[in-house]
Amino acid sequence: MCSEISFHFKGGSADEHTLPVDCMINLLEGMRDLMYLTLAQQDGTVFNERFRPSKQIKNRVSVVCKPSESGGYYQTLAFHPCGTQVPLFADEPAEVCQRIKTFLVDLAQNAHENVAQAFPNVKMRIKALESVRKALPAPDSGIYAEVDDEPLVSSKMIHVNCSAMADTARNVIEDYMTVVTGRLIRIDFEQKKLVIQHPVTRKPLDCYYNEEIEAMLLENRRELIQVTGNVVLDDNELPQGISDVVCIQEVDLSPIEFGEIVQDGQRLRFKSPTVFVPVLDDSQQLFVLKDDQLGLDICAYTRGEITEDVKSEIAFLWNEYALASDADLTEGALALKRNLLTLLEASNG
Amino acid sequence: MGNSRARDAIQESFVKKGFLPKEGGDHWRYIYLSHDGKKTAVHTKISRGSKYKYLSDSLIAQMAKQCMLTKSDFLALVDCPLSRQEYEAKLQQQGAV
Repeated sequence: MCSEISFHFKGGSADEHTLPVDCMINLLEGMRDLMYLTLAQQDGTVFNERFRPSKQIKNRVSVVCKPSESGGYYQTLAFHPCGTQVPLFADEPAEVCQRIKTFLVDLAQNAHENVAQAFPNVKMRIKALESVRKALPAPDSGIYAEVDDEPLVSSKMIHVNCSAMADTARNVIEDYMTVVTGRLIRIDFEQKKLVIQHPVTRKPLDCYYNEEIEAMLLENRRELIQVTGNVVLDDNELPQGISDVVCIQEVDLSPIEFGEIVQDGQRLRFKSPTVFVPVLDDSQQLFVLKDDQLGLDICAYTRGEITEDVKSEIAFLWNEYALASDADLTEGALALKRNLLTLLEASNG
Repeated sequence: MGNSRARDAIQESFVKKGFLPKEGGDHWRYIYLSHDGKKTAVHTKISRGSKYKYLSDSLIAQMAKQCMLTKSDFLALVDCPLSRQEYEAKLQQQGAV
């Protein structure tokens, strides 16, 4: 049984055979965490608030990097016995690797039932989905990835589109979770608890955080941050409490640049690289992005969501307006068609 | 009820008020068709995600802008008092049709 997974990064700097450090760190951390979760699941471990892999899990299987290769940017991860502790059974690293591959393929194929069966406990499932999402390039990086299953056996290669995987991970998480944006007004280092103030209600909302994000919290003190978790709403449908926090992130309103959009197998290229700047709406809960020339006016709860929405929206506008017959369009829609054809072109690869 | 509305009710109103529904990806999309059946540049979308079964006040405000209406007019369009003819007249005043 094969005990390797290869990630083939394409687009952006990967086309020049380089990969940003953050992208590589996220891949490695995300896949390592998914491996710990898979081992914990195999053992029947269930966690409540936080998942901390035991020493016994950490010492059973290790994931190591093989030399990276060019051709885009090709990174293979191999699963090995740790050496410090005997695996539970002889082929445990290959078994863990196989389970991770199956999980990734199920995610990419929208097989929600299989995803749920892999991690029946909702909190573990969300943690596993967060690990996958973390491992994949950020939607605004211009880089995308494919997973090659069993790269040494070409007949068994499976090319999995990671953006499909990230979409499913996001949708499954969203089914359980809500995003609340608030101003970070207090940090309790002892209890690892933070307090945000909701911009509309001015009500303080507290939640617990993982130590690894402490530096980000300090950088963003008194600034807006986003908390994803189970949000309890009051009678006016405004947040009154947050539990089961799965993600805390800064509000990043930096420009998002697009050179090319790949959506459902369709490639659209901007004739010159185009930059969009997201802003927050009046409630400070939604990212909003407008571009009159392209007819874009979209909103989403997170930067990741709005970046994905730009891609799907532009593909939609292209298909519905740029490719439409003039006779089917009003004057305003014709102007939009002309703008789309001026700024974009279909690309074959 | 405040300003939030059930997603189903909004979708139903859109179709009654002349929007052409388009399926695809994570969203249902709607393009407003003029009275002579041509596509206008007015379009909006609703997420398929289960947390969007009820659309919040902030989302309603953004959808209203996409439909080139004030929030109160948008709610009137959804809740029925604002007819398709009245809506189109408002779009004509703004040069959108």
